[in-house]
Amino acid sequence: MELHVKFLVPEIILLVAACVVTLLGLARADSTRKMTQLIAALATALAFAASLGLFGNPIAVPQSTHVFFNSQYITILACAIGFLSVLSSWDMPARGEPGQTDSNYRGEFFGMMLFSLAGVAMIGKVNDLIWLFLVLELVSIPTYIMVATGRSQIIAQEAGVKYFFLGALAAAIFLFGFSYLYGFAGSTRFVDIAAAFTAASTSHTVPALALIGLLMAIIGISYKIAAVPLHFYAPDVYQGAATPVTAFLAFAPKAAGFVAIISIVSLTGFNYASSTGSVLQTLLTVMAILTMTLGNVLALLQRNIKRILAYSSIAHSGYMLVGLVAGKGTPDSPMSDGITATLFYLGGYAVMNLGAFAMLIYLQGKADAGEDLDDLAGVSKDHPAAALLFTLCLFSLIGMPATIGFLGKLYIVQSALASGHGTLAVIVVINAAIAAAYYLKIVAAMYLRDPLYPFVVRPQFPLKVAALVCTFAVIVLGIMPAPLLNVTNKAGLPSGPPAVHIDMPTPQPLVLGN
Amino acid sequence: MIQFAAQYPWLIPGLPLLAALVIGSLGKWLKGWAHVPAILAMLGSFALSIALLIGLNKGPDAGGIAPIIDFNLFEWISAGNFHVPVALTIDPLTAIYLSFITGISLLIFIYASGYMKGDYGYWRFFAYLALFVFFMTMLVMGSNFILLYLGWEGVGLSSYLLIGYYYPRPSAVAAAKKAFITNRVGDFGLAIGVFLIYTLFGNITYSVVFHRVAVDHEFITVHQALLNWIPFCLMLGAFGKSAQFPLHVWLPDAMEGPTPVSALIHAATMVTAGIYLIARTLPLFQLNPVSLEVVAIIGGFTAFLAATIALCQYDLKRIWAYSTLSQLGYMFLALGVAASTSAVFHVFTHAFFKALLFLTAGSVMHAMGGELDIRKMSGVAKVMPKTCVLMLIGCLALAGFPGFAGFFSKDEIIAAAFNKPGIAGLLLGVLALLVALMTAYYTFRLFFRVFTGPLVLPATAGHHEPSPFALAEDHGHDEHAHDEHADGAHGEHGAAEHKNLDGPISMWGPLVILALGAIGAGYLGLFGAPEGAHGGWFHHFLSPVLGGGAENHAEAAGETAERVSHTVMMGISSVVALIGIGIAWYFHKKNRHAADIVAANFRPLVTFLYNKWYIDEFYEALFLRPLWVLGHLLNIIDRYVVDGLVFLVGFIPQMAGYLLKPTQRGILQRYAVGMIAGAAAIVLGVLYLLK
Repeated sequence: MELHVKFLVPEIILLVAACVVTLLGLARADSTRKMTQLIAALATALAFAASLGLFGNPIAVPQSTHVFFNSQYITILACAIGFLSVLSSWDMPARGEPGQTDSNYRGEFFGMMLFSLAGVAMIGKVNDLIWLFLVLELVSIPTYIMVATGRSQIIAQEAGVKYFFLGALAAAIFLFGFSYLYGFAGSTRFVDIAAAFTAASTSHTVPALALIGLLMAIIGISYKIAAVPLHFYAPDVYQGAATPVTAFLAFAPKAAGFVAIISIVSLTGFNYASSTGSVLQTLLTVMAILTMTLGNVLALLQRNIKRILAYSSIAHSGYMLVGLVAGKGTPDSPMSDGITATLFYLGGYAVMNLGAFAMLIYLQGKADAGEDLDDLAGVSKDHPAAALLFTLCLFSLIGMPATIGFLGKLYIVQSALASGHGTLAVIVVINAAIAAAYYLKIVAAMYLRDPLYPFVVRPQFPLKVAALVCTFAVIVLGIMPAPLLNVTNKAGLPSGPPAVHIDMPTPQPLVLGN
Repeated sequence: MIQFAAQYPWLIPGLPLLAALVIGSLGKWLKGWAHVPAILAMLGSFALSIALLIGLNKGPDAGGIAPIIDFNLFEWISAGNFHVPVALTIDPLTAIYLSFITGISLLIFIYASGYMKGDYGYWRFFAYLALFVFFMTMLVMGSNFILLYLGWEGVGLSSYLLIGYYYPRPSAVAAAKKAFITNRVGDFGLAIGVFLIYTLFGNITYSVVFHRVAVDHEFITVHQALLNWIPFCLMLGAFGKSAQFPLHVWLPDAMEGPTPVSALIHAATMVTAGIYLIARTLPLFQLNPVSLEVVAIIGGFTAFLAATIALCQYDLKRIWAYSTLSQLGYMFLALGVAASTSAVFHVFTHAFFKALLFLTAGSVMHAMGGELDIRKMSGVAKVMPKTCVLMLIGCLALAGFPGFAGFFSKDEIIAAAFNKPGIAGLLLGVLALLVALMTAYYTFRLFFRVFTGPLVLPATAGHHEPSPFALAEDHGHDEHAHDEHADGAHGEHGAAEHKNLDGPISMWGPLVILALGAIGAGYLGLFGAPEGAHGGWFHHFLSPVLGGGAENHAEAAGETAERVSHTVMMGISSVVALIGIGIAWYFHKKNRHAADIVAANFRPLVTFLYNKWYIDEFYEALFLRPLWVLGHLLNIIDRYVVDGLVFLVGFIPQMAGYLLKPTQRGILQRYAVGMIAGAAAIVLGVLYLLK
């Protein structure tokens, strides 16, 4: 029993801190409420340390994590990006309308963020459909609140409502899928469902019911990653939310969504050769192509930077789906493993996207003013360092060599080629070229134009630290990807039987209905 | 120290990189102190390089080190079968290159701290220089073709930045672009070569590729056709970087950069990267003997072409630039006639005396206020005695005067050319001798013109060259330019009023060391080898990488006896050098009038040579004009056809956007309908497919 508690230490730290922060955030004195940001930063840092300390320990959770034999990767990522997100939204709850500061510090903001992070950290350890549903909602529901309350402007409340209702609809879709899966296997546990699929596919009797269940589950969850056809909300919500919240939205639901989709696909054992598998592969292929193309083409038309980054976020989900299409690859050549490639890309995207957003927050000044390309015109003259960091992160998003974005795309393309999806690889490369146009539009605005008016920046130390760390990671991991690669490899590859076998009681409290 | 260097060889490129980063980020605060980190870094790199050289020379048995093949730092790219480790190789060839790259860089950095003093963008200059050294050392230390390529592009970039250093000057910008674009042609070849190597061998590490070539005969016969092309691709890269015909046009123009840059990058180090490339990939060239013959012929021809052009130039730095082309031609000639050790030997000696010549030319230019025309100055020895002696040493070395560095290395190449069997060898040998004659002549034409005769100085002498950044900087560099000749700056610039114009010690001190190298470096190829071996220490040291000297190759192949022995050759080339110097003495010291008469009689030829064989004009007509026309044509197509398409591509989603606008106006239900419709379409589609 102790072992399992140890296994969840980072999540426990995050949850406890979330409760403390939420309570403190309601305190009467403004100064007490302002402690929340400090506590949140400490908690995420502590959780990060805990997740690193556990990493590599021979603790394996039996049965539960046949997807992620080392689910710690997602935990580490959640804690690290969580820490940087806290830094980049420093003092955010104190901001009000453009031109004025809000004296009402919304202390619960960081509580919501920590709840959501705890969900992301946990998602890799899920071994049951019910768990999966709960954790996904744990990730999402706080973000609805963050969108709605992060900014005292009507556009934010509108975005929050939109995000919530559409999110509920998406949850209904994947819950519908889950119920069919339960109907097919008679159990909500992953192992049982996987066993049922194995049995059915060997006897070639996979019912359409089960297939529809899988499809609906994947389609529903694709709301979290903003993939076509559930992408509609993304531009509106990203634009409406306060910029630090937007940055968070581009990471937390996406990471959780990808891990969840991988879990669902893993129920068929990544066996794309089977009839069930081939249907899933076709679905993922179509989604990947539509998602990246639509994201990039629509991003080209935007002038609002947050909308550009929203569509770019859609496009990046498309690239990551390509890794899922490629599947597990062969054990002897690790880099043909599309799952590893997707996980690597996820980490890389989180870092470079947060770096770009942190710089955007910095340049947007005290209130969330300045979202248009014109607002960034000539930044390089007054703020050369900020412009440089922003540019480096954008270069990484483009996929320029010597950045992490380049390696991410390289691995994705490599896995697609290795699994015989040449056309898909070509589409990725074409899309990457299209994407360069709109990222470079931002760079061009910063460097080639003259400022329209003087900038008001947010010269906050934690924000600068977050931006620096992200950019540094983008470059260093782009040149020396080994650390991240090792972690992702362990996460994606099926390892042998668990080093320490623990008899874990089935989580019985979670039973349906009765 | 040796063991330390063997354990941390990455410090050699690492220190200059660090210096470049420090200067680049703190330059605004460092200001006039920007040279300090660069010089310190170079000191460290130089010490480590020398330690490696000594260690390799001793060998592992005598307390030294064994050649380090593939010193792995980290894995850069690892995707499927494609691995790019960032790994270093340290063998004798690399160690020799490192020793003179870091050594000469150190000296030139010190020189530049005096030469560039007070210049606008002083720190930018040192940041670029340090960056250059990083890329150059990476180029020669990398253990695979990708790192080579990265270093290759990196030095190209630094070279571009430094040629265009005086960017307010249009000619500098044009020269930078010319260098960059001409190099693109060569780099394209190199890239194709690297692609071919990866496709054929499935690996890009030198040791793996060369091992395969050495042992796997079946592989060679199967892939003969493609393997034959690899040397030509690599050759194109080498010819671009080392400015060989027909890609030589960029190097003379590259003299637009500050003189220390010309000396370091465009004479001593970067331009010899092509020789390194071929010497390193010699096993691939040896698979296709035709390729080596092409190298020899191109090299010989470039040597001849450049020497003839140098005869009729009047610009101090341009003469040395063409001389560099010509000497590089010698080196390729040597590679082509299987005397690769001699080629590297000439690279080594050339680095000393050519850096010396450029820097002395820079001192003259500095003192003359930026004037480079040798017709406008005379008798400069009287005001710049130290510089005169130093340049004389450089000239003697370049001209191949017996006993100086250039004599020994050039002599070996000429002998090797003569000893190449067949009529081609004889022709190349004669050509090489002819070039040696011209070299001696044009070298001393310059020397006698500038340093001897009655004292004539250009009006600008004693003033600092007007800075191209004049608009950008607040004041000049008065504290520097006028302190040495404060009195000379007053009143008339009569010749007698000038006192010593040699410049500060930071400018002539390093030159003394270079001069010692220009005198002594040649003896490394003469003495110091163990009993019975050919050549000297240099040949012996390099033999594990490049095989023995030229003679060994010939003997190993069981060729016919040598046409001329090395000793006889020494005699012949001494005579040739003396004749050349003699002619120069007669026409340019004793009887300058005679030179003008001769020139007048051969007016068309002189014009032809002065205009550099009209090659630039030829390229302009053949490539630039058509490209210009094509560019305009494409511009029109781009504007009316492509833009139209782009507009259409943008138009369709926009129209779609207009159609969807009611749903985009925040009407939640429409979004929900879209989501449900999408999900339903997918499920129905799948069900339809399954039935």
